[in-house]
Amino acid sequence: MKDDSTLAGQESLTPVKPGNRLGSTILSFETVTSTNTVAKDLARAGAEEGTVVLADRQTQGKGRQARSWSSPPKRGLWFSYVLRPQFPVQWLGLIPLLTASSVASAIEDSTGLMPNLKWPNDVLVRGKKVCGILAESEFRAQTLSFLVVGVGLNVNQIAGDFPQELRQRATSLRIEAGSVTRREILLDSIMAQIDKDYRRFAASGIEETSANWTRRCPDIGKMCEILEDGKSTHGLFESLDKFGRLILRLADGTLKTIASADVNRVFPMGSPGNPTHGPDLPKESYPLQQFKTKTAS
Amino acid sequence: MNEHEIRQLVKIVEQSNIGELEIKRWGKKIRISKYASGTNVASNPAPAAPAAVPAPPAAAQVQQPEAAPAPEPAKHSGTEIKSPMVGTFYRSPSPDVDPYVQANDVVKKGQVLCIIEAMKLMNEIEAEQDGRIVEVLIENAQPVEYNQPLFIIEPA
Repeated sequence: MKDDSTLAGQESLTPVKPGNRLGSTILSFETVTSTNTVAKDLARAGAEEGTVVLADRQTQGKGRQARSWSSPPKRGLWFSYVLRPQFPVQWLGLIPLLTASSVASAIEDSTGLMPNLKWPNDVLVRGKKVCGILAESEFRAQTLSFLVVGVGLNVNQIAGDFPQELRQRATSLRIEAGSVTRREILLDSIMAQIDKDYRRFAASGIEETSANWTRRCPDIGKMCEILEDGKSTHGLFESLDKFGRLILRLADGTLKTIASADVNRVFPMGSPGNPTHGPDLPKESYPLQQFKTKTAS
Repeated sequence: MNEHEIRQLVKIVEQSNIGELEIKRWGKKIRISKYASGTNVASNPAPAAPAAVPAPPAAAQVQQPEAAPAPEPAKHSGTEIKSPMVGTFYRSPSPDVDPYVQANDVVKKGQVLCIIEAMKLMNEIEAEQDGRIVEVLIENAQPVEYNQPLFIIEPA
């Protein structure tokens, strides 16, 4: 394994939890490069579905396009799990949305906070990011070898734990709820929720997933800026398509489907600029209300 | 020779009594043929469709070997590697590093060829077998559909 040097002597195995496939095996480490990297190595070596890699500290926690993820020791939950789905692979793109929705439900149950979702899989509390998800898979041509889902959740950090440049955008459950959350109890609750939602998704398809996700996303029906590969596009976030892609209605009325981008809500001049604090503005305030309805060919 | 010139040549062949036209220039060879592959004089396994097909004529009817040694017939026994899902095609793991593979690269079974990103799920697509990349069919950061061809690979 690539991470032998970082893993040696730090592994401890917690008991198998019966009846719960996700977390039936939990490999707990003090320090890893990134839990996704370790989980991928284990998956390549044959780790079964539901294997969880948990770390107190990541030295190279990562996000989309090799961005780094701040993960100080024992203040958050940093874990990844292995999936080997049996459903058709074209639905895999919904897994990040499904995971975000499950994490948000578990946070709500455990803390009473009401997390929102930002497309596709950021979990926000009062407009600030509390959890990031990075899923990675390996395919041999069109055949899926495995899928690894990494979750980074800010639990007990205080404001001073975040680098200055992140404090406006990132938060923790402790900062928002005003109390410390026991990480192991929260982890159990998150794993149980993910396991339940994943099984339902695998058995009954996309509709429930899509509805649960949509319910928590305040950006749907609102003006958003889409940043794709450095290019900015504005439009109305219309809905999700059946693969979980964002459907954006452009100023000329045409629809554009987006599979990868950063999405930011655009607020009209003079609005408070915070989707969870400010009052919802009347639809007339949005400049794109005069859209014609026209579908791109 | 650019795509426009090739399209013009296809048109000339279509509207004439010429059955097959071959042009060599700067060590590259272009052959436009009205014959189906069975009747093609050259031993080329890629089907040369009858000339009447309109949609993308250049791609369907023209073989343009890349810097092939002149006497060799075009060898396009490649297979397509298709996208397993909708997403965005990335040739490298992050914007500031080199592509995983280029045309003409020799690749090993299991070597990563590209990433398809879908809703922040990063899918690494690996080669199924040893071979040579004949062509990269999609530009970096472009959207792809389920089953859309991404590469042509010539098995070793």
